[in-house]
Amino acid sequence: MSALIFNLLRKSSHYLVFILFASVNMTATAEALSKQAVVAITSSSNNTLIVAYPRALYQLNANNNSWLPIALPDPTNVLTGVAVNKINNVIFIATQHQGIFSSWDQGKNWTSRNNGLASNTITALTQHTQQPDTLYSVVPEQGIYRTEDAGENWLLMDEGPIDMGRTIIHSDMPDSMQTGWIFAATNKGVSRSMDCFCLWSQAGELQGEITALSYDPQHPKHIYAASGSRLYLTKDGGQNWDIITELKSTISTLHITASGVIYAGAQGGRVIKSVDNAQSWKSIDGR
Amino acid sequence: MVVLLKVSTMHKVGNLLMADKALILMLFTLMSTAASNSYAAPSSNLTDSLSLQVYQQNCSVCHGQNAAGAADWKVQNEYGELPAPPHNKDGHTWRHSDKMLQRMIRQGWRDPFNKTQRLTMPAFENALSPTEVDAVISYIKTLWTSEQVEYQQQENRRR
Repeated sequence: MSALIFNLLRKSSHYLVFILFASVNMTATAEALSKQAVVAITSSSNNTLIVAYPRALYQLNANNNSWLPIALPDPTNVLTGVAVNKINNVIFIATQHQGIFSSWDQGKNWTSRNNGLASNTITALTQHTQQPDTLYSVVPEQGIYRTEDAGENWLLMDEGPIDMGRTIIHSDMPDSMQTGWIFAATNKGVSRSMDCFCLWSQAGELQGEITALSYDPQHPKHIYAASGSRLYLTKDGGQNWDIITELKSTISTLHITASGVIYAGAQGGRVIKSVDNAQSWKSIDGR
Repeated sequence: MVVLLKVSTMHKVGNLLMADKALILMLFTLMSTAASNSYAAPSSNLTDSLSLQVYQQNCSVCHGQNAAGAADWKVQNEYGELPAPPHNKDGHTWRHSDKMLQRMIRQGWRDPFNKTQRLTMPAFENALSPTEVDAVISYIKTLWTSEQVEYQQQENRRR
């Protein structure tokens, strides 16, 4: 009898140790996840932003800096990009293994949008600046896909530039043969193509791995590129680049709003913003 | 006999008159069609010989006899200009709608990031008629894959 009780106590203690270990581990994981780099920031309507982390999605009110979590389709989703239709506020997310989803109701319901994609592994997502139903996504080893019907159908447009990274953006910069331009982050600077995907070329002499990319909607030729902690700006569509600031940590993502405010993803998953063209920065807390 | 001859002759004359009228009507139709649809979609009625002739006489000097483009067309040359691209399946001509192609042929083109300001693709508006512009576009389309042709047809519907 005493042996039976002893065995029961021993097994219980094993389970207790396991549970304690798991909870500590989960706490450490949650804390680590909360400090993971910001994946993407994009503007929604009504002065709000959508901020994507690998395992979380938020709506950020730009007026009062309040954060509102947006539920993801699945807790196992790892986000790799986000885009928003500014006309109807439909949110699009790209994931590491489950493809692309869209939501009409701020995350209450999600719909899979993968028809035509060769894989559910998506490494980048961006929206057309003027056509709300047009988006671009990147599938590794395939290239850049385009949808013109809000994700209903995707078409492989082009294999993309050599050494393409994890960020592409669309700019309505003039003088395109079609409707604008695609800029892509690469391991060796920024690459540029008209959005007909006619020809990729190196945008100027900027070298190094590009960790973030964005453009100023007020000045479509103004492209911002981050290489690590350095932030560069071109005012001529990528022909010439100037360093405008150097932060203390790698810039993981960039977004410039219609009013010219610069948002950036910084160390520890912080979101920082600048209203004076990167001369000074303020951290947005409260997540 | 004379009467019969006269009748047959009259028939022949009548036929000739009818033929003349028909020819005039055809020409009038063609002219009015050309005027009202100056840059309509390239017609499938254009003869292969006209298409090829226009291309060889006006385009091949830069884009190559077989539309293979200039060497190293993807890189700016010593003048800082992008050379003439291929028009066959290896190029990007198939990515553009007929409207865009017609515009480029008529008005010329330069890559906005060329170091010079001149039109590297000259304007042919005064050198080629609308029919000839459509003819050369028709010829170029014969050099594409079926997938490229289909994509370009969709571009025509979209833009």
